[in-house]
Amino acid sequence: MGGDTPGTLWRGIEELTADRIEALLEAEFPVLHQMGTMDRRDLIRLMGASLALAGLTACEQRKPPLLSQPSSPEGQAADKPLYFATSLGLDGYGRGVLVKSHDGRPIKVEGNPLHPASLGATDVFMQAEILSIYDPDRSRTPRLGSEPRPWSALRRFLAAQRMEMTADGGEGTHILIGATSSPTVAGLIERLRARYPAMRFHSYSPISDPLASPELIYRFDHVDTVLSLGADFLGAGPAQVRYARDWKAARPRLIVVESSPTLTSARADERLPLAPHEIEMLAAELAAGQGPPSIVQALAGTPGRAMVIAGRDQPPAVHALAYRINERLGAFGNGIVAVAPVRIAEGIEPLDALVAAMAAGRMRRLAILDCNPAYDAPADLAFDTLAARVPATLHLGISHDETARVCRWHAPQRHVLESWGDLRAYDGTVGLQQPATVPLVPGLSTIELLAFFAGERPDGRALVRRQWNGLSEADWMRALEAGVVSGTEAEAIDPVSPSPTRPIQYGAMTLTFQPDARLWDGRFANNAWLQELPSPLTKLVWGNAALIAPATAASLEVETGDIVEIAHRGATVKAPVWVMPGQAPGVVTLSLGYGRPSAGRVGSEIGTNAFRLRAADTPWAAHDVQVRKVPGNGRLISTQRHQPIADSGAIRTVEADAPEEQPSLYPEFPSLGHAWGMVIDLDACIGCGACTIACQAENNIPVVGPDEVERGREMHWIRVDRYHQGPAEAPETHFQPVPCMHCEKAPCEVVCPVGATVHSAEGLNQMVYNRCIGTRTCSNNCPYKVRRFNWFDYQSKAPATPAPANNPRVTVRDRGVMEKCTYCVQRINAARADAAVEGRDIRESDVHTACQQVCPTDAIAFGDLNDPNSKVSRLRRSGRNYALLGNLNTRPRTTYLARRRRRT
Amino acid sequence: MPGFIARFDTPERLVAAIGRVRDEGYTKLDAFTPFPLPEVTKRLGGGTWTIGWIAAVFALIGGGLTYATLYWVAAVDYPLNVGGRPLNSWAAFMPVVLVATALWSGLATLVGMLYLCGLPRWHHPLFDIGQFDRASYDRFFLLIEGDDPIFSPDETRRLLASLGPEHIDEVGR
Amino acid sequence: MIEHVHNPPIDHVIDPPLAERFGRSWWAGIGLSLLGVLLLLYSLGGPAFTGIGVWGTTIPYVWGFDLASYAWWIGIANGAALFAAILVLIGNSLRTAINRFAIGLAFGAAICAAIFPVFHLGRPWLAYWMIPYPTAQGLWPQFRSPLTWDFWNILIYVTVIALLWYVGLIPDLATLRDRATKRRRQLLYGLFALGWRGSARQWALHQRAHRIVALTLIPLLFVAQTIVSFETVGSLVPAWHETREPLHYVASGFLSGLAMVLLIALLLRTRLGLHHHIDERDIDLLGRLLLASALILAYLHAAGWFTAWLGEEGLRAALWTRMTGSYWPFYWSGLVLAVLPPQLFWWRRLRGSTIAGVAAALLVLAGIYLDHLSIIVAGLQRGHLATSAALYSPTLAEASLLAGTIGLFALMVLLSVRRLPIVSLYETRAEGLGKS
Repeated sequence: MGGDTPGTLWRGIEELTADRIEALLEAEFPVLHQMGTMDRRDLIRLMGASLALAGLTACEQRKPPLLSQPSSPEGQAADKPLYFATSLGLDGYGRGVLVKSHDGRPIKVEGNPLHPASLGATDVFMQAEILSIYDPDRSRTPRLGSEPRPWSALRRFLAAQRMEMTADGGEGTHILIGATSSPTVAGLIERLRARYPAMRFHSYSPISDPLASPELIYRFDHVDTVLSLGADFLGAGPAQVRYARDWKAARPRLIVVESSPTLTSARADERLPLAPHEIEMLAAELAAGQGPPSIVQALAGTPGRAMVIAGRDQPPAVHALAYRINERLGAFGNGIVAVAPVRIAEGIEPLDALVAAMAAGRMRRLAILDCNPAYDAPADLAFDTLAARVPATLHLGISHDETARVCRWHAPQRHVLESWGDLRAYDGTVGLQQPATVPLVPGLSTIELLAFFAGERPDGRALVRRQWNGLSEADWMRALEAGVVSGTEAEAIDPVSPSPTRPIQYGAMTLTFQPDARLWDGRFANNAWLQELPSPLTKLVWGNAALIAPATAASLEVETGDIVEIAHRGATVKAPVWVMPGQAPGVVTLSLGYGRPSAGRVGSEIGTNAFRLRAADTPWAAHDVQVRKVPGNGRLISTQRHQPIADSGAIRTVEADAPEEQPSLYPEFPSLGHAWGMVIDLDACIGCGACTIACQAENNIPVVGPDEVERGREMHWIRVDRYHQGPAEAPETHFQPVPCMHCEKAPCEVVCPVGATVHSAEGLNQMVYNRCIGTRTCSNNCPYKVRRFNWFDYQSKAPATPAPANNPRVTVRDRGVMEKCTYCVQRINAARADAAVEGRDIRESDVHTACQQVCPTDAIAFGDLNDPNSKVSRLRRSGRNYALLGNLNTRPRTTYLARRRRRT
Repeated sequence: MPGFIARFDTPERLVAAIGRVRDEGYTKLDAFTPFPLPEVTKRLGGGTWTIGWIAAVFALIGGGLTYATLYWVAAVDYPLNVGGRPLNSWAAFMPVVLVATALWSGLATLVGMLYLCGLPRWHHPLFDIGQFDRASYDRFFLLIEGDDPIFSPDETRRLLASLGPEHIDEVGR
Repeated sequence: MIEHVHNPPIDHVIDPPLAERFGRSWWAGIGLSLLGVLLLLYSLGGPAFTGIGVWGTTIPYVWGFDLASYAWWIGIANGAALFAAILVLIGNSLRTAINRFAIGLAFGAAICAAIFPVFHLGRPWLAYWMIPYPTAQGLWPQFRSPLTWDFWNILIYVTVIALLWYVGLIPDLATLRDRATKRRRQLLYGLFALGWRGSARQWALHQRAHRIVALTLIPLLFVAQTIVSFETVGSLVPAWHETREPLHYVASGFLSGLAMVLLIALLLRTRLGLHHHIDERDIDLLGRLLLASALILAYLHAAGWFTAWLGEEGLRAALWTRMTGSYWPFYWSGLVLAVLPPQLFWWRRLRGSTIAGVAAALLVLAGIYLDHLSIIVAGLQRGHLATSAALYSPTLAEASLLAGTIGLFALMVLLSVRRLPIVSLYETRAEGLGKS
């Protein structure tokens, strides 16, 4: 018997019990066979086929299910992609996306312009969902312990539990749900509570307090001055895309006080690296109307249009102080809006209460849905050992993760792109979730499992529709199409001062934690795209490091690459050191999400698990840690070496550079028709890396793994260079996305012996993969080093992107050929074909490159340079426009707008 | 009429013999030596300037043809914008033209030399002469052809015999 | 068959190719070099079947051992061939002894060099796309590329070396044809002797043709070595984009070629007993030439420093990176090993010493190799932008490939001394005549 279904050999039909028939059916028809979706009639109908096939499976490997569209949807041409509007969650909040699906395969995520948390752009996590759905390590079968079990066995277990719960009213039954804002989940919880009055519900997120009330929403386009107390609003987070867009639109004066550099501070007009206790002192001073004059004046200088944001990692005391300052500044109602909790909070208890109940030993049943506390709960709660003592435990998750391993039962969860559901955005707006593909792996969604407990039919669509039965059918269809339900923003309520807690015992050395820019809380650990995406500031891939200030590193006598042991309350971890310019002295920073014991083949045991030092009472900072150097060298893989920017003149911050044209000996080639060009605004770029990963998804760019990146063989077509300027204690940080420049006088083309890279009539520097023989001399001659080489057959070697995730419109490159940014030529050609069908010329709005489309701050413009009115043409005429390495006279089609420097 | 070929054991004897035979008025002579003897090649070798001309002319032809080919390939048959360089990038074509010129010159020299030498050929009547294989080793041969105007079987044999050869053979035509 | 003629100097040279037996050292050499060839075949398996990722090359270090080895071998070939061609032209007494086998060495080295451009390709099985033939796509090679130049360069250069070699060989092949006792050999040598009779006319034309081919080869060699340097010089890499670099390639090539000639001459002399033909005068002259070219190379290094000092900042920084960057040992050991050992040859006694000669030649060859590594690898360390954190470190697969080509070279040398006269027969005899 092939595949996932275990079983002994059988000889005749009479040996087959109903269970075994079901097992066989699962093997043959994984799509059809889901909990509850199959009734008796289906079963009988399929039985004949299954029995016929059953004999064959003994000698045949199971093939993945074929996906096809026997009849095209209305108005759908055969090779055209379909777009599905849905919402992807992060920390329980929804972000609206459009999922591009080719022949039934989701291949790309774009932002949903109608969704307030997206406005058409995305972050790195949204892009990476495509890889997650095809993750070969996804859980494919229910498990009892570590043993795979048929779905029928799980169903029997659940049915028995449901019977017992009906008998005892849910006494001793706890359900732990990862933080979520789903109204459908809220509705189900209500119904469950009615059915089982004693049932208790908990919610947990390692990144935020899901029960916080009220929630604060920031409106950067309503203020002129922003003081951030450790708030990384431009960094990864559920509202990153929207906040970045608003920030770019308004460009308020930005002052950042923080312990470890962030994307936000990289764009700050003024930056102050301070240890956590110093931040608290500063906040107290400011609350008292004192403090550094520059900050005080800046806040006071824009009355009614200034606000203070306290970061999620700040202690309650700082939040309370920020509240006081904001109240005085009149920020509430202007820059800051307090709203009723967006995520489910009513009647929900925190994780502590669950742990207390487990410790008390009276818990009978525990269901853990869509969260992984065995890995990401504070270590001092000892969640895993306690959970193992509960008699009946069930885990619903997308992979057989750490929590699945401490639960008795595990059920595979459907991927979000296979599920129905709903989620609210950071501002409360509801976005509906609909599947973009049939389930690739049999599984259950959270709402389907809850519905089973509630005695309802576990049909995701019906459950969501029921939740939204207030909508007429037409409105429902409209909401599905748009991806948002209009008029569902959270209501504003009065802000409440956070309750001050007992004072914190600060120590000499503090360890702070950050959600990781790539793995978030670890849930993306098995996503190779994210693992290989360079971390924005360190450019580290495939791992994390203990960030230490240069001065602290000197006093500890460590350098980048040494290993330190960090001890806190008896627990220790070892981590490689990264000397971080701009880090506050006395602060060590570790990002969360690494060192997962069972993330999967890609992500297990990579990096240092910071959760092991995390304490429940001060989750974001471990005070008074001991840090000491231990022998050995850590493996740190970074994609960019340090080099002062003065060296290259790559980054310009000065204004009003006159556009320079150097004479050339070569004649101009006539440019008829379109002349594609790109302008990248360094003043808008926040360095988030969304362009890199969007490009990876769009262009079938392989992941190569840590060993290859360590050798410098990463494949990204657009990289984001990071430069520091100024003193290492408090440098300025610059980002520069570098795709292929598509030089008019391309040095790479001239040296290719076989003409494998040549110019198109529209000025694209084209790479002809089929013609390439792999001399790599083009890369030698590329001053920008944007060309990438297939040193091995990366597309077939782990951790290669599974083939179904590939964009069918982009060639998958063979080993031994060069590749590079194409300006998304497939999109240009598709737009040209569409325009030709409609009998018109291509409009500027027809073509968006993948990097341009996802950019939260709209920093990338792409269009026709021959059209004087196009956006790129207008930007090119800007005084800030300059060519990278313009002195080489390669005449790049991609140019940059210099970063503005605000006079202080 | 068959000619005569005389075998000498030293180059000095051969050179002396050539002198005598020439003085007698014989013109259809040839000598075969294991290595080039300047006196012999000077007297009997004939002009060699042709081969220089062949090399030079073919070098020019080769260079020109090569340039024409490159022009046709890059600018006529499949014109492509390569790095914004002109289609007829003459400067960039020069290295290949230069080396191709050298190739044509070298090959023409070899072929021209063979042609002028009447080579290659499988066989030659001389190879049938006894011990002629020593012409490439340690003996020196002088040939007087039968169609020489003053050739006479008796006179010529007597003359050759007087020059101290090891042996005299008749050579058929 | 004629009776054996007593003529020792010539027979001694003819003997090796015709003898039925060879010494034990020859067979040992063949065995060792066959091992090297096996290693070569094995080392080619990686790039051919797995991907050239098995090498340490990366971006920006897209070339490493591959191009350094290529430039090294081609330098040796160029040096040896230039030396041989000059000897043909000036008619120095040395030519009889050395020019034939110098040109043979050049040929062998060029074949070793040719392996690298093919197998350093990402898709070596498509190397034939460099050939201009009418394809289905209608595409042609791109003649603006220094790599295309170099393809023609190597092809033509090997052809012309072979021409010079062959033209010189025709009379000797005739001798071998006439001396051979076995029918098969008579036929084979006879085929390539083309019916050479050694007539006065033939000798006159042959002498002229030989000189013309040599005259053609000499500028070609300079062009060839310059074109090899264009692979690097013709790029935008700051450390490479320098006009002095072609001269450097020519000088270092000449030096390494001479060192290889000296090395092989000394080995042949002691192992095959060719003292008569490669005598003390020859070795002495080679030593002097080696010294002179080492001085030229030293001068070019100094000139490079001087121009960098005068030149613009980028040039200076690039040279400075080669001298002090991660790969500084390549630069300095390359300089010291190439320039210092030949200084021994200021002393006549050392010029005559086999041990000193072999040692100096080996050190010079190693030095030139490191010099090429410094140019190729260290030259790439400083780009225009700070783009990569990775460094190049050669892998075993690359080192074994280099070792394998050395094995192949040795095999070719050993086989050629077995089958072909290594010094010119007719010139030796003519010279013997001049001496007596």
